[in-house]
Amino acid sequence: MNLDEYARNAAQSLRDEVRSTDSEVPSLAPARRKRRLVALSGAMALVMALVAVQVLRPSPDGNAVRTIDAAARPDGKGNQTVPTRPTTPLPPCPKNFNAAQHDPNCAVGANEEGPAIVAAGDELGRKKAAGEIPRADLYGFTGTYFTEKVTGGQPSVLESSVLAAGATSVVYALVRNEHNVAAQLGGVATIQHADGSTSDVELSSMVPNARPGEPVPLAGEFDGSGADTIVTVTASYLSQGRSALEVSRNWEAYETQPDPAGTGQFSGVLFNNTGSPATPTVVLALRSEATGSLRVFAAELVADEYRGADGTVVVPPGAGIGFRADVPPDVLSSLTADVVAQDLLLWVSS
Amino acid sequence: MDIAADVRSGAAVVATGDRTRSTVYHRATFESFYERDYHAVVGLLTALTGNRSTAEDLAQDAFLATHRRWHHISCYDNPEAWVRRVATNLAISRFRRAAAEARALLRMRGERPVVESARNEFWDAVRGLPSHQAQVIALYYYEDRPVSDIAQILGRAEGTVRAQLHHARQSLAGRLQLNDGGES
Repeated sequence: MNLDEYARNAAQSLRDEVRSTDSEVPSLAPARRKRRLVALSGAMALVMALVAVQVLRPSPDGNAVRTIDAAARPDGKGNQTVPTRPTTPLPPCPKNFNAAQHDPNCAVGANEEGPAIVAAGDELGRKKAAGEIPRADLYGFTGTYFTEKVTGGQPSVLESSVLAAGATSVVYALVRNEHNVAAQLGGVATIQHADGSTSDVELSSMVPNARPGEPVPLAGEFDGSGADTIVTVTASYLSQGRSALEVSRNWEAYETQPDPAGTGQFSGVLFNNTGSPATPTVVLALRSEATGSLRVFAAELVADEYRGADGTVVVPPGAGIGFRADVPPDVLSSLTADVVAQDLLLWVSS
Repeated sequence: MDIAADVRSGAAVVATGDRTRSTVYHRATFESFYERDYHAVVGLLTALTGNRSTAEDLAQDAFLATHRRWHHISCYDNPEAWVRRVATNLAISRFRRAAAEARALLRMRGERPVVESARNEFWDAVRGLPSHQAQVIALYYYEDRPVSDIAQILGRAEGTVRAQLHHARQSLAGRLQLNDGGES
């Protein structure tokens, strides 16, 4: 039998089944949902409590499950170390590049067809202004600001914020690789302090190997007073090239939305498409509608079944793993399904 | 969700002018949108999850999310695309998470995991595809949508959807031992 005929028969059977079993459209039932959420939250709390015992145990390599945003926690306490990883530029794509079968680790040329790109770069500003911010779904990246039309110039600085967290402040910037080869990006932020003096803060990338046209978050810490402002952010290419790859972006991510009135936890599932056992690092960025500030934070892996005796999380090829992150309260207050759908950026690498 | 009750609930509501009329208009539009698309979304979710109850729950979640943002979404050219994208994303997260939880719970009890599946061989095979392909197939066959619609719903480039459809069809033809008619 032909696949289409078979599939359409199956589809019709299912349509008939759906219609025949319940012809009435039920009313939307927030109360029912609430009951279910209460029950679910109870169960989830139990599971999370069990998992937290595992997740909060530090990993031996020290960078797989680290939360870098101290202010994300209400008490202001947290690990403020920005994770760094050895970086290796991505290899070139084969000449007959096929978007459907692309190796997500290769450097996609500016003139080649990119995978799952929703809007071209020169349309991005107009679309954003019109509230039509496009998303790109690549392996290892989900979110806005991706472009398939790079300028060939210096990295674009898309967003920047300074965040006071006690005696230490953090500068976050979102910058885009405007070259047609993969690159490691860095930057410098000039900060003006409360007394009028200025200083430079070195910014390092929280995501290795930005693909052509891909935005990545930079971060840098400095001793702040809580009244510091960003004067300028300048991004640059630290390395580019086409040598052997050590960092993989072959992760497929499905994120779920946090309950705006609930715990503020953002969670999702990753699938290891790297072809080998690997430990993912998940970084998320959200822009608060309320404050306009960019917030970048690392997710924790919910990985009881893949955590070894030494605490290391290793995900088998093809397997899925949960992740979660506490959304900073000020971001959470402006977070809605619509904002998450349009403004969240998520990177996975290993 | 009783619009009439909302409007009846006080003179102040009616007296606030354009803003109220706009709100009532949006709510009324949502009602018709919900009634028109509910069964289609439940069917789509049943195809993706293999479970009718789960599909109904997820459809409720998707429509509730839509309702919360209806004043924005109703201005979109195609609100049905938005609810379907939310629904299919929920289905994938829910199905995989449920499967993982089931495995974990059953392992604790020392039992072999049994993941609920629909009887239909075709939809079972669809759910065995990579999730991004399963979404495309469900929209293509269950909703009978063209590639351009699917691309809009899932927020992917048309070329990508076409390629995913091609690969999914090849996989399904192989698994079900059917001829891939070369359509798409």
